[in-house]
Amino acid sequence: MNVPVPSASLFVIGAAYFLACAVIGVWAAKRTRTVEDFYVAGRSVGLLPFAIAAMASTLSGFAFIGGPGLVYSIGLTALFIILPAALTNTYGALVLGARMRALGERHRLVTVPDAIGLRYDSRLAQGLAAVAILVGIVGYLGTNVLALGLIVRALFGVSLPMAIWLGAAVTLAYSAGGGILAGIWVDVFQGALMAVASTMVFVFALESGNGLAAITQVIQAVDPTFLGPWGTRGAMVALSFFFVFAVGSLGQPHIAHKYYMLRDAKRLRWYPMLVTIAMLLAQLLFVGVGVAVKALVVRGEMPALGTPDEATPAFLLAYVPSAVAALVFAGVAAAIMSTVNSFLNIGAAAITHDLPKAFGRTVDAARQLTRGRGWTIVLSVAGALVAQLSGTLVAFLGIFGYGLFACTLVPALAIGLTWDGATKQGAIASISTGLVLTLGLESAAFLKFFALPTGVTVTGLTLVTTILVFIVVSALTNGERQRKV
Amino acid sequence: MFIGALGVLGAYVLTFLGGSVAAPWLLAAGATLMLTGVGLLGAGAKAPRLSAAVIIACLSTFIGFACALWLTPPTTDGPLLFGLPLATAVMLLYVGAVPLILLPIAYAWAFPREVGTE
Repeated sequence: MNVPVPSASLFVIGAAYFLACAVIGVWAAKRTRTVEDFYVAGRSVGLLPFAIAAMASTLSGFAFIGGPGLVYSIGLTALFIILPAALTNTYGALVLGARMRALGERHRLVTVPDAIGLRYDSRLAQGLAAVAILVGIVGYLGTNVLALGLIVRALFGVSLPMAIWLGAAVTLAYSAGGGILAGIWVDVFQGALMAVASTMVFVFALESGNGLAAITQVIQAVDPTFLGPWGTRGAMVALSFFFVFAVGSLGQPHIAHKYYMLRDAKRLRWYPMLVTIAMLLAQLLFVGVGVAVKALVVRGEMPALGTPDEATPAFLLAYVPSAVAALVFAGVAAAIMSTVNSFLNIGAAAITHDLPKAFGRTVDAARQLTRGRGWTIVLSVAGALVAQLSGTLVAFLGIFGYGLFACTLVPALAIGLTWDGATKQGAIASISTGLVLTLGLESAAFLKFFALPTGVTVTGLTLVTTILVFIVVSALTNGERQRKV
Repeated sequence: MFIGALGVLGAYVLTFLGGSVAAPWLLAAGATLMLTGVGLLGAGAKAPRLSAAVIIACLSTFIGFACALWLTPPTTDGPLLFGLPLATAVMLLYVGAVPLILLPIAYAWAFPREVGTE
């Protein structure tokens, strides 16, 4: 992305933003003394920081860069990626929230695979879930660290390799020192920044096109499908997005893991309302910029974009005051860093806590904390290396990560925690099926061994298959479980 | 939920076989049926208010999809509602606005009696 930048504003606000993250990191590091502090923030997080942190971790850089670009190129088809949030903001609390919170407190659980291991009384199920999380994290980290590098480059004008390592180093500093406790409080700062930046840009986007009705009329005149209910790609693609992002959101471990951290379970009552408001504000930019840029290009007031990802930077630099543009760039960095921090934390937990448990080994708490910090550093370096060396593979890894989490964890976690008929065999079969199918089919599709018809995605196909496997295997083995009981 | 999953799989199979007008209907019905099942399991057996909210929200989602599939495709000079093409505005109202407002309010309302926190 080669765009001119207002360097003075960007540099000052960017430097202030990174400094604020560092200060919060130092504060949190001093308060991180136990494994529970490091992995579940000492189960001490209040409702408001909890809701804002959940929003910040859910949204990655995609909400600010890739998403608006996708709206610009395929119209409202892209809306079906965020539309499921109308349901899933509450579904998270309904399906996972109270259960994870209660299990975590009663059994001192600190990870998502812990919950799976306890639910099915199976070390194998816990180990497989940890492996799925680790494999998925590699992809997610690579994609997000590269995106962070691009933003750091825009903020400070350094080379991309230098920017990747600089971004990774700042995130690592607070993640390794203060663990998830630092992550939560940095998330609160970052989430507030994202919501403010997104709302301001949405207003500028509507103003640039003289209001929504005028924008619609301009676009409708040249492409009626763009703002049609299914966008330019049609109903099957849009509905497939809806299915994958509605059901798949219940299997994202970095979100589910946060339920352990809430101080008072009774405060969960207001969580869906707060997180809904926060998500609504933070996602205004996603649609607003994509649609406004399309109208500006149609009217000839903006040149056609070289790549869709240029939609947000190009709009910010041409139609938004430079101080606000700088705030949004900091907001994008915030979105990425909050996601990276969450992944570093659950990745370190999978290695130091879940895998040893799966092999029947116990690690004492003090060593777990030291090892957790060590593995956070290793994962961060691995993410930076993947970002630097993987080339075109990096985009594939990001898609792969979301799909793998959805396909392996939705059945065993989201359905399994609520369905009495779920069995250990069903969980093991569905997680294994998710791992094998996602790895095999995504790799084969990436290498162009086959092409799926429009409207069918590997994640959608694998997700529905693993759910069916989970239900069928559980039903077939349920009799044996009942007899044992 | 099982029937919903079969519906989604059926939609994908129809698409593999060259596509059919039934495929998006099957996917819309299957996905919302699955979400209804997941939501009802999440609410639990002793949660009539939450269960009712889940059913209404999912029904509204399906109605939104059905309207979008039924209504005339947008044209260059079609009518606007809230600044958007009519079919889009109707779809967003049912799929977006109704669940977005209903579910958090229903959850907060039913919480003390219907959500176990211990």
